[in-house]
Amino acid sequence: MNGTDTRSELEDYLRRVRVALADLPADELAEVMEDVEPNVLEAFEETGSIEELTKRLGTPEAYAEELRTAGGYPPAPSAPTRTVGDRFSARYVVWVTGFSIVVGFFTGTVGGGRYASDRYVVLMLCAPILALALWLLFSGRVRRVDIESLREYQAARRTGRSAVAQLPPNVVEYLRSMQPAWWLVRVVLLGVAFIAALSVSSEAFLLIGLLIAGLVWAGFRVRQDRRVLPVVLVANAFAVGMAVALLSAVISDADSSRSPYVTADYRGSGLWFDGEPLDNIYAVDAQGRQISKFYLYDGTGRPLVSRGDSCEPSGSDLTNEYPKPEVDYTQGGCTTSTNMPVLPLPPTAPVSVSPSTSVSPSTSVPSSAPETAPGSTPPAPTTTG
Amino acid sequence: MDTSQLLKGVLDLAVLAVLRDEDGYGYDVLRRLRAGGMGEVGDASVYGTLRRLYKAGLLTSYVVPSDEGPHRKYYGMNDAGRERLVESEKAWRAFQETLDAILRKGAVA
Repeated sequence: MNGTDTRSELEDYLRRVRVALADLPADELAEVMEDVEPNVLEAFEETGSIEELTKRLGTPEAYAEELRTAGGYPPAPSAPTRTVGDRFSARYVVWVTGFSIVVGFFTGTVGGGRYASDRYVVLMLCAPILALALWLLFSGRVRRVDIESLREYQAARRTGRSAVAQLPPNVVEYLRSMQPAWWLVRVVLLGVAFIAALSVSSEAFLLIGLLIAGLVWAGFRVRQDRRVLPVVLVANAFAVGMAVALLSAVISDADSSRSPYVTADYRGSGLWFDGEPLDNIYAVDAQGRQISKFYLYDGTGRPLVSRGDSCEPSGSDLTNEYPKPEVDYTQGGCTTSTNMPVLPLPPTAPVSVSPSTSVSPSTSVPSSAPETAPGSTPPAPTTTG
Repeated sequence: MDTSQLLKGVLDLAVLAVLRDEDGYGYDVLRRLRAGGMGEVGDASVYGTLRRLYKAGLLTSYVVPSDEGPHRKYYGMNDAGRERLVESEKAWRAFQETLDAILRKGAVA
């Protein structure tokens, strides 16, 4: 017999006791179960098996009957009468809770976003229908037995059980032992959401305030009073959604924190002019003829390297050779060319040069770039032809 | 002979008595009764009795959180409980003497 089986057998025993006492007022039943649960657990620890436990305590129904007699409670109603209304209300509670859990989760995943205010609307709309479900539970119109007798509840429970059974038992035990930590994590997450919501919208602010209040209030009660379970489940789903969103944000942050190095490698070797990155640099002689190949250096002799385009997927090497090849697809296929895309007029007349003109790699020391003195005339042609 | 019928009548008194000096949660009460020789008392009877005495205003109750497993609900005596215990003890002793006397007479006769 493994741990999960034993646990579910114990839970089953307790559930049957609860069902047998279901006609007691809900508050009194909760109080009774608060006594009974440790009793059954400790008796189980002493006896070691569910069979021995049953030998000592009797069947769950007999146990409940003995408790009923000793406690002076009225005898059990002979046949519990279930009406259609009960079943409908119970179904309402189950489905509304399930729906709110899903909405809570998705709201949580988008809740941290900047434009999240309208995404809270759906969860806001869930609040009144969930409140009605809670009212049904607290007014005693829907009792735990009603819900436990629903087919969809049993199916959901079985699915959850078998999902847990897939996990290694020691993992389950470990997660269980972390329970107080989870509680803290949830409150912290909701606190984060609360602060985020301050800047988003007043609805979100109100809603998360409600969720925190609900979680703190219900979190303390839920062990004894399962009626508050819907509140806890929805708040948990929201917190899980937030955790998922935060986690993915952290991961993508880690990605983008790597990217500055990538761009530094790329951009840092690029050339800038007047605060704008340059695609390429071309040079012409005094007659306006393109100088087909030249090399750039700064005042300290450092080569001004940058990367050009290439047809190779790996890109071209960092060199200080200019102009950089430009990729051209118009010839059908990839070709590169270093031809100047525009033909300037021959620079025979003096051109006024802006004082901020500079050609420098962005990583270089600002003053190290070769500068053309303001107002200087272009060098006189020394050669002709 | 089955003493469970006899036990039922005196369980209130016994439960009050084991809580006189020290508060305890349900299982403590059960253990103290067993240690005192009441081996046949059923677990559920003790819990039912505790609830009934509590609802009658003779016991106080408070919850102590537990790291492992469910919270423990402790029961303790209040003044009404102490009064009831004194009265019940007197009644019990008187009843016991009466019954002893009847039994002795029956034996002599």
